Amino acid sequence: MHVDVLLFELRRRLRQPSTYVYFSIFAFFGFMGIWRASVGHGLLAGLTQAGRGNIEADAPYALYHFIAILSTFGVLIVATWFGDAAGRDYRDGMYHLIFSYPIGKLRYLGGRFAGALVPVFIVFSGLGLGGLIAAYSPLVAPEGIGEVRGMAFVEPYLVVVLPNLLFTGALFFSLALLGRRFLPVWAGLAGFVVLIVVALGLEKTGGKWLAALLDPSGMIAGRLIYGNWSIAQKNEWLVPLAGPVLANRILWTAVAAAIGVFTWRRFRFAIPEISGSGEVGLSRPAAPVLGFQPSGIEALPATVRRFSFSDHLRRALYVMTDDFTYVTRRRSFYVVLALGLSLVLVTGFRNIGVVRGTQTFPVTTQVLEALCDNLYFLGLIITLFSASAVVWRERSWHSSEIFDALPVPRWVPVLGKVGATALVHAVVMALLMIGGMTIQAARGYFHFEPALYLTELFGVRLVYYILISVLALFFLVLTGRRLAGFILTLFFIDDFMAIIGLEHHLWTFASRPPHRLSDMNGYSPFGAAIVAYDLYWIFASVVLIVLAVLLYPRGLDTGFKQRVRAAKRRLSAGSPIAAGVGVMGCLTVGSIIVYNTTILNRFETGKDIARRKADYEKTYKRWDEEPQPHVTGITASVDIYPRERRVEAKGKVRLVNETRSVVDTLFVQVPPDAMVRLLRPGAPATRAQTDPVFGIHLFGLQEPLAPGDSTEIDFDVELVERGFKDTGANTRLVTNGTFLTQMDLFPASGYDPHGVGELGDNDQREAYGLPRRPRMPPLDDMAARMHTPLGVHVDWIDFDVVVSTSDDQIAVAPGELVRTWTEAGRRLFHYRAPRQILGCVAILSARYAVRRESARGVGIEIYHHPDHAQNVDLMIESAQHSLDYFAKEFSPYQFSGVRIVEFPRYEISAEAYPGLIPISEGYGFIAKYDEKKVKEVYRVVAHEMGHQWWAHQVIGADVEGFFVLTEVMAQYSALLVSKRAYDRSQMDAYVRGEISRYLKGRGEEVEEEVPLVRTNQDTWYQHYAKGFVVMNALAEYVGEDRINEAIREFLRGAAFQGPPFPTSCELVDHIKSVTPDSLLYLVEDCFERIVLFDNEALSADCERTHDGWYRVTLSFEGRKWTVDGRGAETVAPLRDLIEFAVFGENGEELRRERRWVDAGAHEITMTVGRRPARAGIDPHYLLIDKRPENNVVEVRM
Amino acid sequence: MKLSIKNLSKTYPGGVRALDRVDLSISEGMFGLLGPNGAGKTTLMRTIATLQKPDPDGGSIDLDGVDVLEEQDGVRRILGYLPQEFGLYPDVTAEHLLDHIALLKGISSRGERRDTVLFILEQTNLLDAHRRKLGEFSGGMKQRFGIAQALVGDPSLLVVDEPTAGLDPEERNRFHNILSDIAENRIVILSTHIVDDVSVLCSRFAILDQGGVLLSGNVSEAVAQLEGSVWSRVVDKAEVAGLEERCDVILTRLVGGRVLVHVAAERKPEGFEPAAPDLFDVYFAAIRRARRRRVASAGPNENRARTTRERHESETGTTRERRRSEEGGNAC
Repeated sequence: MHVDVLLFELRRRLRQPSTYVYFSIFAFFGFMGIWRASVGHGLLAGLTQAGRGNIEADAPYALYHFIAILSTFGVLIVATWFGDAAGRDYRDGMYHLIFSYPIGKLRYLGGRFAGALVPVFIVFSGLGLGGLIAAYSPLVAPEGIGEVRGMAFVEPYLVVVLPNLLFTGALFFSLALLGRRFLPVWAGLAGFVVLIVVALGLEKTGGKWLAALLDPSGMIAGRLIYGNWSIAQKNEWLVPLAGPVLANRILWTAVAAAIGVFTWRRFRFAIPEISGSGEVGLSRPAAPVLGFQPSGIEALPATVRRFSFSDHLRRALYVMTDDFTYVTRRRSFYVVLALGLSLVLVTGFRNIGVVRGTQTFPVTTQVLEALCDNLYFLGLIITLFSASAVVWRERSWHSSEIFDALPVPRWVPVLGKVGATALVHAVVMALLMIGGMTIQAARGYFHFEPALYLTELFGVRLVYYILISVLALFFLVLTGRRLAGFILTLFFIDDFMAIIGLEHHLWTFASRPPHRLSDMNGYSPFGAAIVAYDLYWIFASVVLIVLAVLLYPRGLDTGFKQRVRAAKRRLSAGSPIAAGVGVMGCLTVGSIIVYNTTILNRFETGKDIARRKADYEKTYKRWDEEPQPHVTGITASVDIYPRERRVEAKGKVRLVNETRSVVDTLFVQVPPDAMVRLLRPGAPATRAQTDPVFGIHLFGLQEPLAPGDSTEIDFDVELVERGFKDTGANTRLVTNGTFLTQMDLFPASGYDPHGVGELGDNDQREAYGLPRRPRMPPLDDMAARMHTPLGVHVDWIDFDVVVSTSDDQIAVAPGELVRTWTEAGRRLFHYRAPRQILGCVAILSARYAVRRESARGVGIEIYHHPDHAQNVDLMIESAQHSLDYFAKEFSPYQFSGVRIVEFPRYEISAEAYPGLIPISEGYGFIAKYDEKKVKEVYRVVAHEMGHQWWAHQVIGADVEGFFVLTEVMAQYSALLVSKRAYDRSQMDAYVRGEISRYLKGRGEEVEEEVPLVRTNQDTWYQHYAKGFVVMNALAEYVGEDRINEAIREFLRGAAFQGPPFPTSCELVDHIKSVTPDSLLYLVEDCFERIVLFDNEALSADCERTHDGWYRVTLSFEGRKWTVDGRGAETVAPLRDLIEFAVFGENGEELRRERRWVDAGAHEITMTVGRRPARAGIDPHYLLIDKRPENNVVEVRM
Repeated sequence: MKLSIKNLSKTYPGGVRALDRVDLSISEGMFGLLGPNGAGKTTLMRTIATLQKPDPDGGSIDLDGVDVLEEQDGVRRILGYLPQEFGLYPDVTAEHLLDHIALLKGISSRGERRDTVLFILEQTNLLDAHRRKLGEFSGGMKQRFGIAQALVGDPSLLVVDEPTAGLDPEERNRFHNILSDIAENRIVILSTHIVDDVSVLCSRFAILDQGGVLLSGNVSEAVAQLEGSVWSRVVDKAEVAGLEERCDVILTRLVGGRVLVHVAAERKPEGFEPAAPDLFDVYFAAIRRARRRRVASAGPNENRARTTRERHESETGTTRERRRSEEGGNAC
């Protein structure tokens, strides 16, 4: 029907080299994706985990995701080609002719649409084709790919790409056609991006189904289906066109169809009423002139005309404001801006005041971070939009002949246009500032910090967007083409340089080391780097602007070669000087940066780091076998100079030979970045080897250390932050909020597989010729049982330290504060541990306000930033409750006090050191609560208090299951304390959240899921999430008292135990010993097997008995599986004690009971005294249920 | 002031030779550049207006000692240019855009700019419309705005490219009046394919065809040269072909369904009346003779070039004239 129009379009595209270039790019990505993923690297692996661990490189879900993402990035091509297909006739003025031809609407529109659809589809098919070729090529590692399934490469094109193209194509096509030019396409592009980003935000914050529907790319819908798939399922299953994917595809195809019908209806073969070139318009009668009439112009008014530099500068300013007005008058600009801003502000509104799901006060640092997180898309779209609008302003309105013949040097329009885009960005920033403050006010927070807003938005961010605008303008001028200009721009500003191994920020245009704001510390460690990198890029932009001026198309000779030839002729004095200034500036600032980042500081790419770690292991692994003495005590003085960002640590480390062999060589590890001023064993020794790269010092002892003998190491090391780094900054040693640990300050003994570290990732290990190794040694590794993950040669130590700091700061360390005094303008604090503590210590120093309370002889101290006093009461309350409960139920608290100390928000975490709990300012201190939920700070403090027992009383061996004795038990401790502070429904909601965290986490597992008793290094979803859920179940089923009894018993034997250290098995044995035989299966399900349920309440019917009671009959389905490490599920016969309950109209529990349920049972009856509203199976989520949402149903009367 | 164009040639990348060794000397006053569509007029105008370069070693343009091709900036300061086709930003007012252009033309003082802009708008009869958006302008108003912007800055070199194309007779009149009033003391180069425009406005002119200058000089002198050698006769359509074979036909024109024929001859041909020659006769005689010469020596290449060109010129009278001339014979 409309094949002729289609063929015309196709031939047109196929004649253009760009078509082949884009196809090749996609094919390259597809090929490289599969090839690199087969050895666990590359983009495909990075985006989807394909090829990592036991997941195959061509796992269908991964291809679905990969093709969806990359084709979504290809939306620029879609927009350009569809926009071109629809708007070309208007642009070229061809519509005068074409619209007069006897051509049907359907034939014209359909042909044009299909003529864009087919080539874009062909270009995108490069991905799958490239991947498929790689999959069959001999390059791929066969063990990384398994059996190749062709369908996995084809399916995403049918399910994802084609419907997406129909929708985005229809959208852009319609906008360009009905808007009669390309600009409205921008609005569509912005809308598309906004939809995706909003959907991604929703997905994170819980509205998964809505997010899956809303996301027009189908990515989220797919993830909703395969998100919790196990490894085995991921390798086998195609993403089914069902559930959310089906709904999403139907929705967006319908939207595409609706757009199509609308466009077809609205479109007329008619000439626009007011067209851009103004050919047709309203005419106003003028005085008739029918013959000769003197016009009255004898002399044109005499004017003074000035052409000095400053006049031209004024002209450039004028062009700037005029082009700015032009951009900001486009209706499409408002749509782009409105969509983009609403994206930033709406997601900002959701994310502001939320850290890891916890509400916080909308402090300015956090508001700025949340706003700037999403600013990138808006900034980029605004950049491309305004750059292309101003560059082609004159040309697109056909008035360039007039403007090009005006007596202005060409730098006037170029500078003017650069300025105009800068102004546009400034407006965006101003709006963001207003928006941010509005959000703060709306949240009832009125501590505005306009200075901070100005610095961050107008100083830091605006500069970035101006810089990339310059780059975009440059490439648009250079190429003379929109798409090519955009793609080149993106290529130079995005991470492509890092991907090809050029990781230094000097390679990626306008980039600089990441920075983070902190209330405690402002910009402090990042300021110099920001200024230096910005200056560097500003100078680089000067060069770009000069080139743009030289190549700026003027007049009619706009071919590239003609422009280059003309540019050469025009090289007058001005441009080489300006370019010279730019180049000199670039070189000067660049060498300052290189000096700072590679000479004063170490610069390492990801590869360098991996190689260094591999070298460490290859060179020194043999020392792992050699006997080395144990660290048993540290006596030190630590002098912190916060303003100089310098710290000196000197003192003695006591060493005891606890092995049964003599030690003749001391292997001493100092922090690699430290300057060693003194390092001397107490016994006579000779220096055998010094390795400054790894901080390793070997001493030959003249008299070997016999078993049981001890010696010392005198040390004096200094740590100074010099200049700035390319990777960010050392955020541990800062002006306000220093947070150092033993690894930063003190020498250690022996080879350390953890700290400086061996390579952990097995794929990387293989790449560097190291053997694969388990994540942690197995439970029966007796050698590993002799030490803890903290270090092979350190466990319990004596600790005595004098910390000095500047006189306005307070220094905090583990131990009792023996004395504090001031000397020579510095404050000194003497801390001494009253008993042996775990050799994992922290020293903090900042300008703190202090709050002191005490409960039953234990002092509770909160050291906080003076502005962050909001949650101090709650922290104290949680610490008190924890101390009370744990001391009663577990064992006495071992210290005389506990200190909770705030540190800057460079990390968002909470940690536990002996009697010392550092919590990030971004986490607990600015948290704000929803009264209906479990208050996270309360839970976090209880968790960290729990660690005072579960790490600092019992420390497990360095084998699998270590985290049962730390994190699982700390979670249990927090559970016990929280349960007393919150009601059932609050806890239920929390437990349900932990179940979904567990399911999500195991869905991301790539190696192997192990039972909880063997939980290890990377399986956080086990020890935090599953740990919480199963301990809740055990407390419910077996009883809290009995579990606590088992714990007390366990602690009696294991607390402060030395080698061999306890393991998770011992704890589980204690729990088993208090569990009735009938429930032993449950303990095994919890710890020793991986078990999943899908208990479902089908319906609940109620009848009134003659004596006024209500009899509820609940029909249900109980399903149970055991799962192996790769996620293959086996149906397990149900023979379980399961809880059932009936709830009243206000959610109150009317009846709850546990019944033994076997495979045949499908119905139970419960009788209650009041009117029931809902009933369900396992309503409090004691078991790990794949779909907890279907456990409870409404009761039918 | 004197603008001398010497040996100017321009070949487009596609191989079209737009200017072929053009030599012209233009002094103050109105200068008409006459030629059919595709003759190279616009290329010549754009080259004078600094927007295009000729071929390398493709000649020179000199304005009182200033090299127009190299010192573009100097030329632009005294240049007023009205392109043949141009668009205007539809959403700004006439006053705003004119003010913008005045600033770019070097009038830095805000007050002077305002005076100039209002004066010129008044002279071009756009004062009533100065607050209106340009998108609402009619074709005539737009064209007047075009001349207004060219006049800003009191240019001493004014280049106007086919300014009256598409204007109604009234607007054309208005235009002529303006142009003729400002032509004193400056060079005004007017390109057009309408013979009347030149005969009404210009004292000097040149005829350009296929990139070359066929004739240049004083209008009245050129007409006077034909005095006594032009003869006219009204014939039936069927007779035209025969006449063309026999005579030096310089002009054929439909009059009331029959054809008025002008021929050039030393002596009065039979059946013809003496006719008073005008610029039409000069123009068509020059073109027809040039074409006949070319057909006589035409190689296949040139024929092809002409066919392409003819495609672009479908709706003009000249094509029809030319076809006839090509069919017709030589002598009378």
